[in-house]
Amino acid sequence: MLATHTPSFTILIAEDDDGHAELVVEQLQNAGVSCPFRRFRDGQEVLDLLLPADGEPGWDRESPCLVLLDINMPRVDGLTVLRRLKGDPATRGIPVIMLTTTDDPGEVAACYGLGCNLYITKPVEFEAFAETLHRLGQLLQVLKVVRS
Amino acid sequence: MPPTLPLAGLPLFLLLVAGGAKLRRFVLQARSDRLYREAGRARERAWDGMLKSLNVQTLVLAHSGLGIAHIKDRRIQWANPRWAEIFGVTPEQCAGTSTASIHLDLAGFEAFGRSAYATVERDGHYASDVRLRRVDGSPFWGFMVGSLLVPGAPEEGAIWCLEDVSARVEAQQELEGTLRLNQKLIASSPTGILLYRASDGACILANEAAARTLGSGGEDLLGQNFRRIPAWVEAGLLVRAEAALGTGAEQALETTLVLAPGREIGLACMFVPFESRGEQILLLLVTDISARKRSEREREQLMMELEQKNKELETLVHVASHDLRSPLVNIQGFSQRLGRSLDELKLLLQAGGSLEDLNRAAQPLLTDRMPAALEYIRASGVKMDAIINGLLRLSRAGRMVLRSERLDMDRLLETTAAAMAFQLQEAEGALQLEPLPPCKADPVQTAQVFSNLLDNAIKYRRPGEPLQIRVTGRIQHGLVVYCVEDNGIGISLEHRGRIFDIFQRLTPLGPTKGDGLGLTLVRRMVERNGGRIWVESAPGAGSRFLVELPTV
Repeated sequence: MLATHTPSFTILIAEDDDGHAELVVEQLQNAGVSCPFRRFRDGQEVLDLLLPADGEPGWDRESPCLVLLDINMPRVDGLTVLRRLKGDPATRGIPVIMLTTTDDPGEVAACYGLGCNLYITKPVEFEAFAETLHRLGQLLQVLKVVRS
Repeated sequence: MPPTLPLAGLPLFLLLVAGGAKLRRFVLQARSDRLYREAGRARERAWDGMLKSLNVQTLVLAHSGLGIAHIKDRRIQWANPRWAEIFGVTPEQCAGTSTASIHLDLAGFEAFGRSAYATVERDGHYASDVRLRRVDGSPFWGFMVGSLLVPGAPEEGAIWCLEDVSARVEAQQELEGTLRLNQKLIASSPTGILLYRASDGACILANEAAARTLGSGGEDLLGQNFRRIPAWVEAGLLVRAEAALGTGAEQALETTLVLAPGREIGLACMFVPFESRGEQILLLLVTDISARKRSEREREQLMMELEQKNKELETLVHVASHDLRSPLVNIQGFSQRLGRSLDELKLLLQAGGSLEDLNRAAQPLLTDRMPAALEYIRASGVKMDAIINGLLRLSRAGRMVLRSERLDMDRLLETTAAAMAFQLQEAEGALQLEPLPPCKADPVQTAQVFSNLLDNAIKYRRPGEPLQIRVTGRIQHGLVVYCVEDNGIGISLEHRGRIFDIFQRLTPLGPTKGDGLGLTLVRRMVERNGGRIWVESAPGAGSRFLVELPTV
């Protein structure tokens, strides 16, 4: 298990499925990720926080964060959030990881084309899912080290 | 009468008579000699001329390309070599033979002979093409001219000239045959054939097929100047016609020609320029390809529909597998958690210790983590069941046997609205039904379509604003277009293209009750009834769902 650091890093999870969100958090924590998590039920909620249509963002842009995005979400889907975040200079630097059940090659390519940092397919095999999340946790640790 | 002389002159007279007699004799003698000589010379000249003339005639007869014979009393008096040659005999064989024998009992010739001889005897002259036969029996065509040898004396017989004109007659016959064939071909051709004069553009020939294809009887076509037909310009025919005349090369095109307002035909045209008797002629071949065009359009339409269906099916499989995978992730994930919780419980039990400690340690597992996992697993099962049910419904909607009948849409909408009265009332909505034209569709599916659309209008209403729904209908381009209009939250452009896709859902008010299938089903049902559905909307501006269905 990796050493935990000061909780200076927040993981923003946009996931409409409660179960998925809970499993992701649980597995990341099991993998040693001790960051705080914030859960959003759809893409609009993420955008409202990071790129509100009017007024100041509800998020201090100086505090580091990472966005975990599902693709199929009501209101605003993950692809739109990705496009908006990567298309705005203010949010372009935020790492975005697509975490979705869609493994359509076209969609994967589209996500990378839009500038996503990592694309992970939610596997049905839970061991593999856990492994993926574990590696994601390690990656986040590395990112944290780089940042600090 | 004796001359009256004066007496005084008598001696002189006598002297003169005496001396004169001698003189006279002399003079007469001289004159006689001269006359004799002159007569001899004339006779010689005449003889000479006659000989020459005879010579010419003999030479002409001998070498003439014309067969010449003197026929009297149906007998050949003489015939020149060419005559004999034409019939395939020697001139000697000809002489004295009867016309019957020389023509070898040719019944036709006998008949000809009688009429020809009769004509010559009556008119003194005869000329005609005659079918004859050589001695070897082979037939040939002869041009025969007969004239009486001595005018007014038929008993002297007639001179007949004969020319072998088989080549000419046969060529002529062939030409006539070709002409007749051409006429038949043109008349009976299924392809429209028209001829236009380049100089003044006038139509000089139009066959029946042309009249049929271009309509309104052949009379209208004849004389028509192709440069003055407005429809030709629109159809691009005039350009091609002039191009054909200008370049001398054939021009082909397929086009649509407007014969009359609202009456169009598909045409395959071919312009062929050629010259005839020094005049430039434009041949136009036209074939009505409306039916082919129609079937081509239908095929294209079918292909498009198939392609769309195929895409829809692919999307369906893709989305369904994705949507089924999502609850599966939960089932597997939370099953694992349950397993781990059980392991923890087992460890607690094995560790022993006081019941209180055990209770305290097991409490969070038993009251929180394990029931939560179970609930997720159960909910996932429900979700998968809903998806599978949805897929089945979609499949059934596509397979259901449809009735196509005249639908009283006023009644149908009233019934549908009555069934939704409670929901409407709950949403404090007002439904306004305008008079609707009838359509031709399946009653059950049509009711489902409008029930779904009304349900959507209620579900996606704007909070804090009284819901207003209006249903209108009009006939447009031979189809009925119904419009279900609301003042709800509306649909953004990016969602508009996806709302009819399977399992796509916007967030409605309150908990999501739909299965994400409503509009997919609606589109499927409308399309199966030969119609289409689309939406006009903007966020915050309400939605207008337009349903197009066949008229009665």
